[in-house]
Amino acid sequence: MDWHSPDPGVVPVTPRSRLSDATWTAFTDTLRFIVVPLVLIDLVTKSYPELTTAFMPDIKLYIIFFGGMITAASTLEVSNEPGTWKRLLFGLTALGFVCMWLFIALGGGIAEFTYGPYFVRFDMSKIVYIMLFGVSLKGLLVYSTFSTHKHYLDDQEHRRKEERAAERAPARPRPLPRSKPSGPAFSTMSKMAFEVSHDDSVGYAPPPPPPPEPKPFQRVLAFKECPICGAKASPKEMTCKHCGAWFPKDTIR
Amino acid sequence: MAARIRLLQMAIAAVNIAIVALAFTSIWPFPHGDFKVNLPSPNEVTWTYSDGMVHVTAPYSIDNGGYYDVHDLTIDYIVFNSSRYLLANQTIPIGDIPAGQITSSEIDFQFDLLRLFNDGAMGMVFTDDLLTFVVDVSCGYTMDLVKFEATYQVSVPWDALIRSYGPDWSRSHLPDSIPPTNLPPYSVAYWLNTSDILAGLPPAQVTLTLIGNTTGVLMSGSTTILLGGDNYGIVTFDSSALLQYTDVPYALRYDLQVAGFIWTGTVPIQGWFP
Repeated sequence: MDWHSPDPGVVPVTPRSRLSDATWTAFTDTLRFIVVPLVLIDLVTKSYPELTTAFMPDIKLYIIFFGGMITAASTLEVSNEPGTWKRLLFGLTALGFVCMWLFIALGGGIAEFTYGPYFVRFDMSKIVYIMLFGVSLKGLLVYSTFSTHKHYLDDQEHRRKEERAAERAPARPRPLPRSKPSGPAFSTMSKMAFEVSHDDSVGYAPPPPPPPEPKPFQRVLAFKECPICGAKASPKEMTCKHCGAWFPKDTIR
Repeated sequence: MAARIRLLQMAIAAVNIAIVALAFTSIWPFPHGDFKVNLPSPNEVTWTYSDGMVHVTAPYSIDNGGYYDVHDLTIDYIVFNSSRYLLANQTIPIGDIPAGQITSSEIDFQFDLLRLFNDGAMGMVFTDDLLTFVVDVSCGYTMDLVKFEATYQVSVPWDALIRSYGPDWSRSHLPDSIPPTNLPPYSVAYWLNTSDILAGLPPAQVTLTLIGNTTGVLMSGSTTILLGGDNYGIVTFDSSALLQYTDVPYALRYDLQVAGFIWTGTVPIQGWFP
């Protein structure tokens, strides 16, 4: 169980830090769930041989088994990237094993003690169930960590896909507007810009031509269309054979 | 996001701290001795006898020095003798004990020893026995989240009410032959060793009868003997009447009435013709 992991929503975890986290988790969980409990059980059973619980005869075996499962599940949890289903699965599995381990270690909440003429029985199973509830609340944390990172990972993946798609997709030329030939009307008149010639008498001089803009890649067509009537013409033509309009300069080769 | 997780962590930590505090305050008073059940020891058990009934009292106390109230405190006990004969059983509901209070009372019961005697169970009247008390204390603690049960079993020695009885021939004076050469009055001393708890009761009634060898009952006499400890009484016979018999008395029949117990028996006369 990654009890000590930093706030996962903020700091991205690199593979190397995950490895060190997993090692540290394996070490600390082995200490917390196997080594220290075994020492304590040894002390208690030697100091109070009259104390018995439901699992007392094989409690060391149970502690080693469930402690080992907790350590394995926690290590696997920390080894996986936050936000992955594997990490959620191992996190919840480790939590389940912690509950079982706690239940075994506390003898199900029922302890019996015999000394001399006295026989004392404590039934604290309700408190043990409350403790299990408290431990299982960590499941919310595991799920919350999962969901937070899942959003983060999904956003990242989405962005990456978009970038990849943008890199792969070719630039499409903008389709030119097609106009149908029609009768004489202002709307059908030539839309070509006209140049006002230089006239010293009125003191007019045309503005300098704008700097050439970088043009996007355009497919070279084998013909050109008249901007007035839409009739097709050879790129070399200067005027439209259909309506007589002048082709723009840049379309003439 | 980070703030939400931090808040969740803090909430979980707060809940877990509260649970640990609850568990600790529920369990700690028991090993620490703040919650104590003082059940009676053998030397605290007292016995009295009256009108065939044995009255037993045994004190107990329960000290609730913990943090929570004790709920539904109940004391059950059963008492049986060495032959597993059930003498008494009872359930005493005590109820709740607030935190910091001590409740003390006593187990109080009686059993009809005379009825046992009349039913043929004479063991406890004439021989020492061992009475086993099994006391079971059960209660709820920490809002009934903890169930506590303590069973205490103790064996208390029971002294026989009538330890021994019989004629004391060394203090008796009977005719030594037919016709007797020793002088009257003729008498038989009878002793009775009873339990101290019978002291103060009306004295025992002892009736002795001389049984002849061929004629049967020769004559009888009575006396009273004090109860409690070792006492004796002397039955004096009518010597002139006794001298008229030519039969040889060979046995002494006794009829005893001690604290309501009545029984009879016959013993041979020793030293009638030494």
